[in-house]
Amino acid sequence: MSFTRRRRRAAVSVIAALTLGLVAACGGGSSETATAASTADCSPDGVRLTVTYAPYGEVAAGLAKPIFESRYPGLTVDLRPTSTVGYDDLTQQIVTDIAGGARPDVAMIGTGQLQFWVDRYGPQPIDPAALKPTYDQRFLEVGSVRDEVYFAPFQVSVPVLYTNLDLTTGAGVTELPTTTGELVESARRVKGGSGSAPVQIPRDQIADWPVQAFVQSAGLAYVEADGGPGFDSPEGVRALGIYEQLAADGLIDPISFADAITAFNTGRLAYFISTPALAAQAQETIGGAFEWTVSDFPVPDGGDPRLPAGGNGWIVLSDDACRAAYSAELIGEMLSPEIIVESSKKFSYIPVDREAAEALAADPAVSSPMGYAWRYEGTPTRFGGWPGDSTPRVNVFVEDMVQRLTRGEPTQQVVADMSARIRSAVR
Amino acid sequence: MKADYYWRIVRAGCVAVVVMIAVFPLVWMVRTSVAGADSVILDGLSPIPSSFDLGNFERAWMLAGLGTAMFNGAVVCIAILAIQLLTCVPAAYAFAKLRFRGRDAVFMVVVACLLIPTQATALPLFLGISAVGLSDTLVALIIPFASSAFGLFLLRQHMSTIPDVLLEAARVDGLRTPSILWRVVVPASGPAIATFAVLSIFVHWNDYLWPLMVARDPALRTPPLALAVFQQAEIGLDFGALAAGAVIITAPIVVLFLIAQRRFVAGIAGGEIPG
Amino acid sequence: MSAPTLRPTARAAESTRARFSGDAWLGAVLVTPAMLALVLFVVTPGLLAFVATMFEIDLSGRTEWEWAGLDNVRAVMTDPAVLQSLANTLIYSVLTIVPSLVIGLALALLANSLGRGRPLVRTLLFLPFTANLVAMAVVFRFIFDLRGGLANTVLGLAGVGPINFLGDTATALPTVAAVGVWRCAALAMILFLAGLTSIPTAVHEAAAADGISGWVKLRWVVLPLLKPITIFVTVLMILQSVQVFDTINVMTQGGPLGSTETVLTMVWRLGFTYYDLGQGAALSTMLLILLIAVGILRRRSFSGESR
Repeated sequence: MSFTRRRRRAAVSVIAALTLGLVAACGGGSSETATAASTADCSPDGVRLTVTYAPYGEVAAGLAKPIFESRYPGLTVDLRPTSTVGYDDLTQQIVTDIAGGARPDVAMIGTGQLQFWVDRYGPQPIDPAALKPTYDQRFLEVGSVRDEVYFAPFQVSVPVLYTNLDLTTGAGVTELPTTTGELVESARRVKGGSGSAPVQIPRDQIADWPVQAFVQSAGLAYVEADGGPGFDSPEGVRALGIYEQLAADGLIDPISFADAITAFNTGRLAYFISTPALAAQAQETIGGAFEWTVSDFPVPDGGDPRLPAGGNGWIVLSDDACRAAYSAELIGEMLSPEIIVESSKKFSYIPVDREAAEALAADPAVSSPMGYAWRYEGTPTRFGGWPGDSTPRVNVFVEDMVQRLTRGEPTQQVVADMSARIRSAVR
Repeated sequence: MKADYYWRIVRAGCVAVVVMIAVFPLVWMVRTSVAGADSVILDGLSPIPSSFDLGNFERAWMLAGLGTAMFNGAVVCIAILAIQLLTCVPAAYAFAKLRFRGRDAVFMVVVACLLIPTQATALPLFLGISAVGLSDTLVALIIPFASSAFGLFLLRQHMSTIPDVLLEAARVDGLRTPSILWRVVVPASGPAIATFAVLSIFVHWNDYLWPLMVARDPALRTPPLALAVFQQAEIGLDFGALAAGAVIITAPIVVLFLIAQRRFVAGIAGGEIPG
Repeated sequence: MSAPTLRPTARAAESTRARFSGDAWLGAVLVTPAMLALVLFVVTPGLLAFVATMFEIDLSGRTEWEWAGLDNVRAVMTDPAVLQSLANTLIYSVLTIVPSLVIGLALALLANSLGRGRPLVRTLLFLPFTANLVAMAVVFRFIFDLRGGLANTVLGLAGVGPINFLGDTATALPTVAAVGVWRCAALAMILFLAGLTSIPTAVHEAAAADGISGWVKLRWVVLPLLKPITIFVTVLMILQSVQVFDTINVMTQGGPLGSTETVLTMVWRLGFTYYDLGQGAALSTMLLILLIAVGILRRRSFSGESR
């Protein structure tokens, strides 16, 4: 590249100017905590609320917009959907938007990303009073960080066990496993019958989700108060021993989550730990080809279920008190019982509204595998919680941990190894 | 004579095998697009699904808004191509046929641009586009591709083989540069231009990363963005609709290739083979 | 990298200069719009990324740039995941560049030897390049499925045990590379076919008159005539391989255990998943420098050989 000296200097100054310009352009959007206002103290005139969401949020946002705009004449709700395919993509998109100077007022995020958003982007706390009176308050724990509610869960699920009843009863197993010990035991018998590996636990995409469920259900914290991993202990190694046990006996194939879904839907997999959100698709694909059901997540022997909430919800990113107040109320509107019923029916999520839950309980499909989530009465916990922006890196380490364990590497060594890497990423 | 006969048989066999490997995944895509929900995946290895459902196409068309998306895709691709030709044809001509100070150095910049991956430039570009308020507009989908290093490279290679006598004659006839470009250079590089046109349209028609960042308004979605609705990891991929959508958006590209292939094939060659 | 192809051009331009001088203004005018766009939309963002290498960039709201010197470069160069991605890119390139070229050329020769069916075969063989990758990823997942997938079913007939193509760290990269070859060979084929089509009939007639055919004709007549286009296709294939992103992204996202992570998927991961723009920029800058170094080396070796 033979730039002349003069040209090089010119180029450098152009870059410098551009950089400064960009920094200046993006430097404006500060996110100081505005004092909570009530919509009663604000004028809706000329207020524009921007709402960003993944395709799952399309219906909710679309229905709430006209209702909200007619309630507050002069206020506009701007819908900015994304064409993302998962929650990591969604977060990337919102981060990019904010860097480009377009900070949304209301954003959908994955439940696992709450800590990241709270630590890095200072969202506004949501006043539970802004939600519908029938909103089920037990889900607010999922949205709380340091005793403040920042996130209103929308489409929520807990990890569950899918069982192909034809394969299990064919092998003489009639009880659904409720603990990991029973799962391993049943899997051995099923494998004896068919020969191929009968269990799948996600190894990618949502690999961290069942890991957290195993760890917490064994009575341990997933993330310690200092941000380190809570499973780097003999108890943690025991809680996570299931992967190695399954691998050692050839009860689990090292395949991707996507392939595992296919395997279950085509009747080749007996036990599949997954999300209830897949039940609708499973029902359509499986048709009447075989009997299957959805049941409780198998907890480590002697443990009690404490399951992290997967799925999504809404946060308020407004940098102005009045817009924040309107945003919280808009979220309340997007969480109306009708919308909750519709999305639960379509994708089988746990209803976060009591009125919606009653309506679903009366639905004939409640006893089908689709209905598991509708009947769910437990209280899910927060998902993730790694400090700052370490979440994406740590999740890769957790995924690597699961992949190594399902290859049959010794749990103790893998957990110690990965815990050290997680600690260095958290720091 | 006999040997020739056997050679033909062997050759036909080879062609058949190769064609099968090349098109099998595409055949499977078409198969998936017409399969019923219960036979959409792993329905044995039969290329004919055990149940049919043309509803995949209906779903793909309606839910993904493929009509709008394909219209947008066409507008974006055609606009990009038109601008690229306007900028690159004259520049390539200058690089190939004119002598001016710094020409080779400037051309090295073009070559360097070939090496800069879009993944590295996407964010700075997005910040710049946002800073000037163009984000979420049709312009943002088009303007970053106003020039193409690849196009400059390809066209310059081709144009350098246009005989100088031809250009000289045009000058003697009193043609000015725009006329020379339009009446001599463009016709003589027709095949190269066709090549570049097809490749440019392919690339931008299937581009995902950049439109994902700047085309947020559903009215601006391009075909790959539209298909994202069937790829939601959490609720499971909608294989049937995804395949049907892919068939729908691939069809115009194949038709385009069929139309362009005569010129296209002559194109790359014309520029490269001396004599 | 492109030096060899530039040479005939330079010669042609030399003769042009003799006849027309005073092209300076005209040249500048014609080149400016294209170069302006390149500088604005490629060079500047590229340089910004280069500058970003030396900063710690916080994207959260304020987009602050904090001077970091060579910290990012150091962090990237000592990150085992990054080093693995560099090695994977090298392996992927070895597995795809030469096979794409050879298969592409073989296909072109085969298709070219056909009479009537040529346009049809040409179109069919080009189809892999037109397909939407996301949809194709679904198909390839089916083909390479551990249980019941096409590849393993065929292997099973031959008595070979199932291979976990995409799930095993040893086979994932070669499998993804095979898909890369499937696409790139189609592109190479069509480019070579173009070269073959345009070999003047006179050449074939002369060869026939001298009784030259088969391998001899291929080696001593056809291939030399294809040399310029071979260089062009090679450059293209190198870029397609070293900058592979989409194929990996839709098929494996770099897994399992980082075994298919390549430089560009790593750049994307560092910048957009970990929000560490400085490190992402550092890695893409390293790749650029490597490519330029390779280009200069190649150029040198070529000029040594041909002069």
